[in-house]
Amino acid sequence: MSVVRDEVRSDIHAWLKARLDQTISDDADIAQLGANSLFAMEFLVELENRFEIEIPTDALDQIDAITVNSMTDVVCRLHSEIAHTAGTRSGEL
Amino acid sequence: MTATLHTTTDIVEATAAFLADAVRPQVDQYTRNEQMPDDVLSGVTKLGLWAPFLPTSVGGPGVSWVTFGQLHMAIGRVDSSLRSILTAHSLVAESVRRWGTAAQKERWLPGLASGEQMASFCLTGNESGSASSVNDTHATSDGEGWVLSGTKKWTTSAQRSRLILVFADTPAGMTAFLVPRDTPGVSATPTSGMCGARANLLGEMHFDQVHLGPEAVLGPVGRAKAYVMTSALGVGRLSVAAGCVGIIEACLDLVVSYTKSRLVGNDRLLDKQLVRRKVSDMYCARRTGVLLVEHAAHLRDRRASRAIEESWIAKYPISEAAYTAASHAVELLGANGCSSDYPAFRYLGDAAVMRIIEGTSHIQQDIIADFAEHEFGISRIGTDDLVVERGGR
Repeated sequence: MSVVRDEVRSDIHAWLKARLDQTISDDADIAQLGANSLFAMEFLVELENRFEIEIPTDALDQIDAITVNSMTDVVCRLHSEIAHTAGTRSGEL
Repeated sequence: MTATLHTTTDIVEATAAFLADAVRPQVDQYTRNEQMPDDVLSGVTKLGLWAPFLPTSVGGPGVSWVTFGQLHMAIGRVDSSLRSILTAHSLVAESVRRWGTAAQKERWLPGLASGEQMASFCLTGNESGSASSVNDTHATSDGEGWVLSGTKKWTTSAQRSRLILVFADTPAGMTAFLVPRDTPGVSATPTSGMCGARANLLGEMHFDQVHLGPEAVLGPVGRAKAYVMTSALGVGRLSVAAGCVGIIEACLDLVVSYTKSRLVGNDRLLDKQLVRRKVSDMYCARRTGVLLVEHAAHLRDRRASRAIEESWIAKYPISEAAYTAASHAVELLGANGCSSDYPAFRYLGDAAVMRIIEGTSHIQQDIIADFAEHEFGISRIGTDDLVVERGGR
C-alpha cells in the first residue's frame, strides 16, 4: 500500500485538529503541544497505528523536530520502503 | 520458556500453580530477610514470565498485554517484590523491543526473554526524585562513543541485574544507554530496610567513567524523556496497576477468611456493618481495578495512542485503593494485623511503595488534571454558559 503525501499531511492535520481543538501549523514542534510531555509519544503511536508503520529510532535521529512536515516525510519514506519490500516478496509468491 | 506451554491459558494456569506451590509458602520469610530465592527466579525463567510479551522469534511466549496484565495481577497477589522485579525487567525489554536497532534487538532480546539478562531500569538520580531529571548522571561523547558517570538510587534488581538501562544527561538532552553490568566502572550497593517490596534486590547503581560504544545508545539521542522514558513507564504503570489489583485481592483473601472465622460475642466479625462496608469497598475497588487494567492493556494491544494516558488513569486510583485496602486489612485484623504472624502489614508496606513508584500519586494527579483540563476546559463552552440563572433579573 502506498500513500499520497498530501493525504498523509491532511490526515495528520485532521487528527491534530480533533485531538487538540486547534489548527497546528506544518512546522510547529509537536513535542510542545498537548496537555503535557506525554503528547509527543501519543502522537507517534497515533501515526504508527494510523499508517500501519513502526517509526524506528533512526527516523527520529534524522529530523530536528517532530512536526507535521517532518513526520509526513517519515511516513511517506517508511511506506515507500514497505512497498519496495512487498514488491520484492510478491515476486517470490 | 518451556516447550510445553503452548497457549495463553497454559501459561496463566502454570503461573497460578507456581505461585501457590513455590512462592506463597516462603514469601513472608524471604520478604523479612530481604532476599529473593534462586528457585523463585528459576521458576520465572521456566514459565517464560520475564518479558512474556516478547515474540516467539526471540524466545518469548508472545502473550498479549491483556494477558501480561492478568499475569502481573496474579503475581502481585502473592508477592509485590517479584512483581516489581518483573516490572523493571519488562520496562527494559519493551524499550529494546520498541527502540532498539536490529543489532541491539538481536544482541539483547533473547537474553531478556529468557531472563539471562536480568535487567534494571535506572532513572531516578540522587537528588532528582520525581522530577525524573537526570542531572546527577552525565554522558559525554569521547569521539567514538560515550563516557558515563553518575549515581542512580532506588534501582530494582540492582543487586543481581546483568543489563542496565540508564537515563543520562547529554549535551543534546536526556539519552538512554544500555549498559552491561560487567562494564568496567559499573558497581552496585544494596539498599536495605525498605518498608515494602523488600525482596526486590534494591540498590544504588554507580557509574564511574564508564566507557561505552555508540551501540549503547537506545532510542533517539537527546529525546529519551519524550519517547523512551514515556513509552517504558507506560508499561511500568500498567504492571504496577495490575500488581495493585493483586494486593487488593490478597487483602480480600486475608480479611474475608479472618472476619468469617473471628467471633465477636455470638456474631462473626464479617457480619458487623462497619466491617461489611470496608469489605464491600475493597471488593468494588478490586473489580474497578481489573476493568481499568484490562482497558489500558487492551488499548495497548490495539496500539491505540491513548494507551499511555490510560496507564496513568489506571495506576493512580488502583494504587490508592490498594493502600486503603491494606490499611483496612491491618485494622480489621487488630493486633494480629500489626504482627508478623499475618501478611497484612507486608501488604501495607508494599502498597505504600506502589503509591510512589512509576510516578507518585501527586505526580499522577498533576498529569491527570492536565488531561481533564485539556478534555473539558476547551473553548467549546465559555464560563458564561455554565451560569444556570443570573441574579438580579
